[in-house]
Amino acid sequence: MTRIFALLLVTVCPAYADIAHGDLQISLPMLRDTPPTAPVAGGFMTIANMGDADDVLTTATIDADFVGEVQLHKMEMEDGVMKMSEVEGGIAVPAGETVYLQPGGLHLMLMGLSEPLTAGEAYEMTLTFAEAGDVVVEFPVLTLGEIRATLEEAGTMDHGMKGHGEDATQTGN
Amino acid sequence: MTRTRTILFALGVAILALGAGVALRQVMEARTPSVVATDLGAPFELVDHDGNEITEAAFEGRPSLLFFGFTHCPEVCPTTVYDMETWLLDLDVGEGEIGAYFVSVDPERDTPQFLKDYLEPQSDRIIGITGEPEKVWDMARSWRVYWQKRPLGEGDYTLDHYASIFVLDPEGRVVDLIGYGEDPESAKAKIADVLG
Repeated sequence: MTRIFALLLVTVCPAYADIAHGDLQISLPMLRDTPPTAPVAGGFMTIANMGDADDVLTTATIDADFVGEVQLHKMEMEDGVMKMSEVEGGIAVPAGETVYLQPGGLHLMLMGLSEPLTAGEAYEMTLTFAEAGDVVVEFPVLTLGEIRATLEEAGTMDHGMKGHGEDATQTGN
Repeated sequence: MTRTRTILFALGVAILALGAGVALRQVMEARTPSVVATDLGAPFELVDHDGNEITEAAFEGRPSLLFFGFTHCPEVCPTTVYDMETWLLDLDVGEGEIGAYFVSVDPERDTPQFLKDYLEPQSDRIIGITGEPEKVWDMARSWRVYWQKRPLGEGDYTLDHYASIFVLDPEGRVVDLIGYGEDPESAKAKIADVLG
């Protein structure tokens, strides 16, 4: 029964369903599918803080035993060089602002994968915020093409690709 | 003629002096398309993802796309593999018309088998290159590629790395670069150009 209920939930919740959690609104949760042996995967979402108080996404954990851990990462392009690092102290979600975890920028990094993520699957992740506490969000696994299409449709594409646009313009000259 | 030579010489000196893919990009930005072909790279003996020997001869006789990455890379590398494959499909480029190579700058973890299992499901034409770590790094250095290990806790690490694709002419010389996140139409135009 629980399983049927869960399936129904998945069916009626499209990838871009918004999840309200206190003053936070979480949308576009997505995981990128991986080649069979890729040990890492990226996770994305948009977090809007509609409240008056700043918050911080401190940790994320995934309900999948084939994933080692989830880290909060930032990727930047600088002079054509990709630089990636863990975000110290969590990802800030300031009051009244929207934070975009997207390809090319902030993202969840799933590490130590012993099995691939396959498009069509979905996994629950528990996101822990310093103020708003825990929220469980269903992350569907999409192909890169689907992720791009989803972001394009949502009109939020530029936020993650900020650094890249510049790079592309320069190399395109 | 003398002038062209002087310019080429100056470009060569600039690249050697600045010594990085970054510098190369700056040079490429100033170039007139299809005039400058830049000599980068040195002879090497490495292995492809099938474990067969591969040398610089692989970049001769047809144009090539050359990318330096690693399989523990969550985004830039799988995205670049996906994009390269997609552009070549879009352009309807036959399998033998262009070489496409993915050199691992993480040869300690990226064995030929690991590269093969990573690349083959994504593309049947992108060839992985790896080998003895020092030899691979020498090869990457000869292309003035930047990379840097960065710890991720518990002994794990990631790599910052140069993320543009080198576009090589049939003599193995760089004639263009495709930046990460570049507009697909621009990327495809560069590939179409080198295919002639």
